[in-house]
Amino acid sequence: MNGPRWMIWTALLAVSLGAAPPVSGKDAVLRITLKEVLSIGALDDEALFQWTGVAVDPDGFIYVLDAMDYTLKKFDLRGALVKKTGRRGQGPGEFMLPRLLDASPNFLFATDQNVAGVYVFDRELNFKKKIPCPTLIAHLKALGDDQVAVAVMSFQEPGRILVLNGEGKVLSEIAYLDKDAGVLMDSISFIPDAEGRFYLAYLFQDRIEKWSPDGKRLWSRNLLGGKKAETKKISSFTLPGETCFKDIALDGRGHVFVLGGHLSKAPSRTVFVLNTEGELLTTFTLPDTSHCLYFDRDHSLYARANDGITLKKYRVLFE
Amino acid sequence: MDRAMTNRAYQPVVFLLVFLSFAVGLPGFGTDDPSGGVCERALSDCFDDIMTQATGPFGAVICIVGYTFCKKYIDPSN
Repeated sequence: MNGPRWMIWTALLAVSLGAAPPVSGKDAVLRITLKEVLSIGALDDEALFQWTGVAVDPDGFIYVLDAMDYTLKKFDLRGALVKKTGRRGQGPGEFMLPRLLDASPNFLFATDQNVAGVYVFDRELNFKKKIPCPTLIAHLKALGDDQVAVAVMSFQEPGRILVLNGEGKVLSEIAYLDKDAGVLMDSISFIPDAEGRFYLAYLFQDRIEKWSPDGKRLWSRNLLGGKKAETKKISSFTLPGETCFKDIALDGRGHVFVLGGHLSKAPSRTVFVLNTEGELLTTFTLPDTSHCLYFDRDHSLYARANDGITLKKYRVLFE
Repeated sequence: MDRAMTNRAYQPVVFLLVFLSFAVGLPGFGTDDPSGGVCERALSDCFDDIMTQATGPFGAVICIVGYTFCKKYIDPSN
């Protein structure tokens, strides 16, 4: 009598384990689903044209950099446009190639692709100042109202995250790159946690890392089985042509979210979820391709849709 | 004007903008086969351009940064 029931339960367990994504670690998450709670911009409106950077302030207002009309836009909690600023140009508050954006409690920090510095705006979108930086910026995160961390691009000293104060003074530095890694192998996205540790996702390497505030590597993980990006020779440079990881974000609940690139199962849609020790908990797939992931203080996830015409906000559900 | 068309019409321009963003100036000389990708072609043009204008290491960094953002934000194969 008990035999068949035992076998059925065993079979069900085997099927469920077999269907589950790779899970390890003591705090395994079984499954993540997304519930869309807000959508800004659509093919039939002009709210967004090709957004590049997103940030959310402590009150929930959403700020977006739009590369197509050279603006910084502010949306309310329901997704209505409140205000916008900026135009094409190289003057104060103007953009040529707006790219990265982040928010501190009272300010917004934005970059222009070919400008060695960080533009600072207040929450009413008034341009306040430019924080000078030694070279061009590949990634940016705000650490406070008067402090930012930037990953800088340089041939002379590759692979550095600099912590700058509001005047551009380098307060600390993390040198994360192995010697002779090759051109562009230092390209990263990063996210700091509340204790000043940094999580790094390499754009062209199968590597996710955690670094201490004083520049020590705490762990390093592969998520793609050690796959290597195909390289191409362009002029005198041998460069990677495929991306491994496009962005990394913390959800504020002890999970590290990593957006996979070209080498992932679903390019620019596969999201790897790790715990803070780097153990892979699960994966899930975004509904549309994205170049970035962003979490607000309420643990909501923001990602791209429609090639940048649409910004989606999701509630992340753990099952 | 059909507002739906307004935003749709921008999309082809996106790729053109990527080209213009870091391949400003003269077209490339085709020094290598960049394997046909939009980012590779733009980078090749950018390198040719900085050789022409002798902008030095900073110019090369501009090209590399442009390639990186193109790969991350735009490349349709990604």
